[in-house]
Amino acid sequence: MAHPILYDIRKVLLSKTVLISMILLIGISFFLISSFSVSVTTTNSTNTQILSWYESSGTYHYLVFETNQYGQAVSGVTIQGNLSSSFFSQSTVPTYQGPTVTTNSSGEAQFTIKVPASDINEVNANYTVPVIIHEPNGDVYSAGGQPAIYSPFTTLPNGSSINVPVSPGQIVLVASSSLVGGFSGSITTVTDASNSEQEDLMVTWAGNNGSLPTSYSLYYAFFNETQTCTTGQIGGIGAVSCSSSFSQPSSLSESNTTFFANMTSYEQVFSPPKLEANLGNGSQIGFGLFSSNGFEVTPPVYYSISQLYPVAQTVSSSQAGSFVVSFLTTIYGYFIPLIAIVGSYNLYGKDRVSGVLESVLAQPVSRRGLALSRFFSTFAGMVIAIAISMGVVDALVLYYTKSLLNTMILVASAGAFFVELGAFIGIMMVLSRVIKSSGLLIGIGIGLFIIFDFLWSILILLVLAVSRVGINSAAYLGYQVAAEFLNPSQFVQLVITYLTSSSSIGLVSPAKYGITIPSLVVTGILWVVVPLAGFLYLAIKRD
Amino acid sequence: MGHDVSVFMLRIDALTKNYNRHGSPAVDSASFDVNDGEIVGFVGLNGAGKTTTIRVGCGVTLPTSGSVSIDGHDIVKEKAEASMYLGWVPEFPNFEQNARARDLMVYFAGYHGISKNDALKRTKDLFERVSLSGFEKKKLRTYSQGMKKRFSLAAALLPDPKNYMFDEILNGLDPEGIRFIRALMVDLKRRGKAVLLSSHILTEIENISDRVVFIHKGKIIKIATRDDLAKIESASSMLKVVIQNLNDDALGYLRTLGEVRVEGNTVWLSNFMVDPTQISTELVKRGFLIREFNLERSNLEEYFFKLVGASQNMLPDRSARN
Repeated sequence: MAHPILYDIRKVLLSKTVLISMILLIGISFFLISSFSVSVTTTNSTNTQILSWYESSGTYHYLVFETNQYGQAVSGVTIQGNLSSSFFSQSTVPTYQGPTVTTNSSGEAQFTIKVPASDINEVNANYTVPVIIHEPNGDVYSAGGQPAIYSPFTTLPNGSSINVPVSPGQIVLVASSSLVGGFSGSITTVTDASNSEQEDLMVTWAGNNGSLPTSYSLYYAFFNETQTCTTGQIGGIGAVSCSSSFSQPSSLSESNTTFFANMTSYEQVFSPPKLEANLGNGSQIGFGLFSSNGFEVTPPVYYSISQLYPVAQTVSSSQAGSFVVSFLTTIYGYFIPLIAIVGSYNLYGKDRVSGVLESVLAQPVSRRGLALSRFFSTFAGMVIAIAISMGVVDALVLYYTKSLLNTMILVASAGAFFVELGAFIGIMMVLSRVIKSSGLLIGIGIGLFIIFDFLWSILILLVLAVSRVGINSAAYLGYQVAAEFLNPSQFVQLVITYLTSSSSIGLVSPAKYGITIPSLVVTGILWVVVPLAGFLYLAIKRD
Repeated sequence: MGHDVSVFMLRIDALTKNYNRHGSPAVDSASFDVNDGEIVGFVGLNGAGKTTTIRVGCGVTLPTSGSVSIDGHDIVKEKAEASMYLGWVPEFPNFEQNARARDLMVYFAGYHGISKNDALKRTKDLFERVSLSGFEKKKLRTYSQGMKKRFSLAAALLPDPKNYMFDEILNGLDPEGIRFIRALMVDLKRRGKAVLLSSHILTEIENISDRVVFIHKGKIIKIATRDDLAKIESASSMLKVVIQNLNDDALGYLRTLGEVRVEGNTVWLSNFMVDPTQISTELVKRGFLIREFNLERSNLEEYFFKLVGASQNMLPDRSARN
């Protein structure tokens, strides 16, 4: 049997409204993601090299790691290092050539350069290590057009170490405390391989004389922000301005931190530890690496929790992941009501007003059945269209960032979009039952879109002003959030507020304003069910 | 009416439809039936309530009160079941403009549980019958009004339902189309289908209807059977006789047969119960010279206007639409 609802769904999917909307969504996504990704992502050909070394009896031992931006080992990279004087004018000073080595499957390569005993002091004082790296794709790696040159020998006093932030395409040399039996390492972040919005922690460390760092452990501690809020006027409108701060301890101890992981290899990537509850947006997490005797071997490293926990906090706009979230919640959030309104008009309202629907109603179908069939076929067709476009957007993100979107954001956003879609389809179908003119119907539909999407905030501000609700009062934010509950086009914003603890009007504690999973579920159901019930009543009882 | 419900394939019972709460009803307590194998003509002026009755009857408009049942299924309470047994051709067919005719036929067939292959086969046959062959894959926006009417007829015939409601189906059709519809009606009647046919072309109604339902200002003013129509015909017929040597003997004879009106040599005879050929034979036998002998029949149209005229005095005036 050729089921009519399949015909209706196909009609929705192949309608000009839906096809144009999909092309627009995908096109805009492609344009923004591709152009944005150029500035924030790296490619496979750009790697991170980490070098540690120690000297023993005139032999300088070098340990090199080649990793990509995810901290994953890159094999087959050819590396050749020399020891040469930093005083280029002294041509008589010899350069000590190192061998050419290739990284193994662990991304690791080692080489040694032997220096006569008589030259060791001179080398230690004035020599540098130019390293030339040949990547598998034929690129010869250099920084600033020149082979990268680092000289830990001359810059570091005994007993200290440095941390150089790892960034793609830059050689990082972490120096040790001593020329003999030195050790080196770093704590930094890399992009999570399965989620471009997630940052992971990469720790590199070598034990004495290049041994595996099995006696070292990583510890962490959260540091909550101290938030200070002031009120003022911006353009005649009251505004709340908040800033947060806390002081970073210069060192950590095992007693005031929490054990996180033991080191088992030279280079390890960790997912961040579980986020503590009730932390502000400006809170930070500090990491320290400790030897088996409890000595902190590197200065602590601090990251804002918004960097390591993008799902729980608003992601910085400088990150590709936040762009995708912003894109989904704004572009899609604006587009979906328009798609639902224009689509419902084209697929139901116009047919209803013009009488085309009567030829279908004359078939063996109940009024309820036809109404439900049209609602769900319109809904399903648009859901499929939006899911396809979101899938294409995800594929674009994968292509450009080598990582998929955050699953929780994706699923939650999709659910909110579908609520928004169902609500506006239902509203348009209700209007289709009571308005007799096509022009008036689409006019009112577009008017609703403008009010809900663009004028809502202004209307709420006006209502609050007329009601003399103080902008600086505690109730103000509550009314703003309540207004979001009353607007189906802002349902996505409510969901994002719940996930990120941040709304368009500032930092909020979701639960304090009633933004909880039960309230979101009930609101979502009501936004779909109430217009649908109204539509069904009119379709069955009024004609 | 007093009939067994099961006899009536289409039954309209005390149907009232009021579009405007403050206006007169478009249809006011209308009741009539259509039996299996019967064609019932539905006659009325514009705005009389024919289209509203049919629209309520096929379920696209809800009644204010009363009921319509199709094969015993209430069109409101058992809409899907009732519509299964009904084919409807509206006065102005209106279909999805961008749909291809064949696709829409398959879509409609889906509601009747007809498989796609079967629907395509039936569509091919029906399009041949309604002279739309070759237009199956065309979009309906390219169809003329007449073609849309033929398409609508094909769609109504697709599931081969037991009952039909045709609303001004003859409008917009060329003579060939009208002849086809006439043949179709007879065929449907022969196959035991119940047909309600509304039309302005009263000669067609008169020729093929078993009964005629007259509606005026929303009320059913008369339901006439074929026997009733025959009696109306004879009762309303006038015999025109022009006698060259007209005299009192001739008039005396004619006055024994019915009512006589004289205009010079012309005599109009009405309400006569004798075969006209006997009259002419007798007049000739009596030596009268007949220059013209013509029986002028009263048609349905005249009868309809007589009915409307009579009801005009009985019904309150209405300003509401139907």
